[in-house]
Amino acid sequence: MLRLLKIDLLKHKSYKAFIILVSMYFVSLGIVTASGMEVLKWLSSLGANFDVDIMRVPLYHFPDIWHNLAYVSTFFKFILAIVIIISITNEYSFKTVRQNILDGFDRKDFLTSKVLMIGLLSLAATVFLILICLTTGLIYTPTEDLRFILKDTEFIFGFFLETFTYLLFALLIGTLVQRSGLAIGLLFLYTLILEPMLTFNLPNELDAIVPYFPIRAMNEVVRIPFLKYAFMEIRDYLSIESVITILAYGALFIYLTYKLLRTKDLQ
Amino acid sequence: MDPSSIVLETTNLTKHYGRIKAVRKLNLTIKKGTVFGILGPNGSGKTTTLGMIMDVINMTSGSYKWFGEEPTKESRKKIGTILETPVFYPYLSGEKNLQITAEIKGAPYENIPKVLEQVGLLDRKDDNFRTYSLGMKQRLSIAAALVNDPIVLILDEPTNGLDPQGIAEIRQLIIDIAKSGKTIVLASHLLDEVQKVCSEFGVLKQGKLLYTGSVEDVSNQTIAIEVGADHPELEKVLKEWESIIDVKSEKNHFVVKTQNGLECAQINKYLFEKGIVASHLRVQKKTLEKQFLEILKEN
Repeated sequence: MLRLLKIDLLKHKSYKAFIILVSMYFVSLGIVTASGMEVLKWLSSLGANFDVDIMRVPLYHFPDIWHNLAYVSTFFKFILAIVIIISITNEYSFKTVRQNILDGFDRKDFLTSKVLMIGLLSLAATVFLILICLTTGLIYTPTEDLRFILKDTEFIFGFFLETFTYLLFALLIGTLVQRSGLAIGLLFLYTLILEPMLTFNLPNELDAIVPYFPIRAMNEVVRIPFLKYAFMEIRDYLSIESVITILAYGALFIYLTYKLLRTKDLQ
Repeated sequence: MDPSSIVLETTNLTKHYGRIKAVRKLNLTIKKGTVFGILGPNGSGKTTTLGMIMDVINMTSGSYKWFGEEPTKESRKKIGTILETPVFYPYLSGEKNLQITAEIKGAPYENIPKVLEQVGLLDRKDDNFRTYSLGMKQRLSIAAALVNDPIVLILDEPTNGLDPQGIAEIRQLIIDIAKSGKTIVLASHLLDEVQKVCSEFGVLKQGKLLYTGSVEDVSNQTIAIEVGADHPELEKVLKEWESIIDVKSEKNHFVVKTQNGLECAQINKYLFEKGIVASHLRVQKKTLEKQFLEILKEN
């Protein structure tokens, strides 16, 4: 297993596009999540009106911070998805996937090495997010609330699952169309336009299946937390059902990618 | 035949692309230590065949065995393969590319400088693959194929696109590798290439294996003898002899076709007895090219 991960790391560690995009991901994720409170302070100092005293909303207090930052961070997964698409489509345009097989990989080895890379990136993102939550949480949380420091950390697990599964989806799209531009276009088209349009226009009787569409199922894991500050009821836990659904999608994406690898000739 | 001496055996190997039959019921046996040339015009199914026995192209039907066993990824690790163009990660150095190959094949990193030395790329190992010339790329792919000290090498058009010097270098490399006892499967449409480096060959046309045989047998066949002499009666004298079936006049000599394995010495003796001194005697051996064209014509 480690050997397979090592091989995929060898392929990427001196690749500029990979290093730039991954750095971009961590820098932008870091800036946006860590600076939220300061930006809000700055906005209110400019006279922005939030209806409530923004300083009294516990955005960055334990335990709220876990859910809040996990939710915001999921939006950055697009950058990592581009990384994965470039990685897999390069293997097709350089024909290196074929050479890997000729050299002694089987399809399972090849796929496993990619999935492990996806796991590593998702894990690194998760660890990074935990560090940001802990640091900013310790800065902003009033002393009496520090006892909640480990409460609601399950949303971090939700963030990991969503990022990991979305990257598997990107791997599938990349394997399917094999060209980077097309794959990135298709991924965003589906995520941002096709699925939302489809679910929106579904007849009312079929509303029950809407949460099971892939993108929606991924978004269901960590739902938007901020509505609670407007005194609306929100789900403040990870639902088992959403976790099972997203795991099932992850398994399906891996299976379909394998099928594509197995059945298509590598010319 | 001793089964352990068989490296590759295919049985009714077949590939259809829709209605196009790229490879049809191919039965091929390659013995250990041979340099086997697969000859065929472009599009005759050479690369498809090699792709199938290396599991990158799914076969439609049939089967194949490597080293007498059902093929697995482990058998591919003992085979060094170059299909068509050299394939590497362009943004990685030659050495780093070989590290990936070594990791996949389970070869120790110590082999990398050795094979780089062998193909003459040691001083360029830190340069990115994309900066290499075509000849260097081809040599790097040979280095990659050698990195796990393979039992078999599969080379598909290894000199394609190279300049004459590059071609000579690659051929010498292949000959050297063959001398070390490795089995080599070489697909090519260049006949003199196969004649120069191969011990056996097979001919493919439209996905069918038309012929297999030894290169030596072909090149040892005498097909004609050139005879020249400064004597006006030469043609008449030659035609009189019943062992000579055909005499054709060419620029400075006659081309004589004989029967009963008549050799130069006997012709020389005969002419001398008739008072003619030959000034030119040369055996025309069969070339693979002639044989190849005959095989294609017959079918």
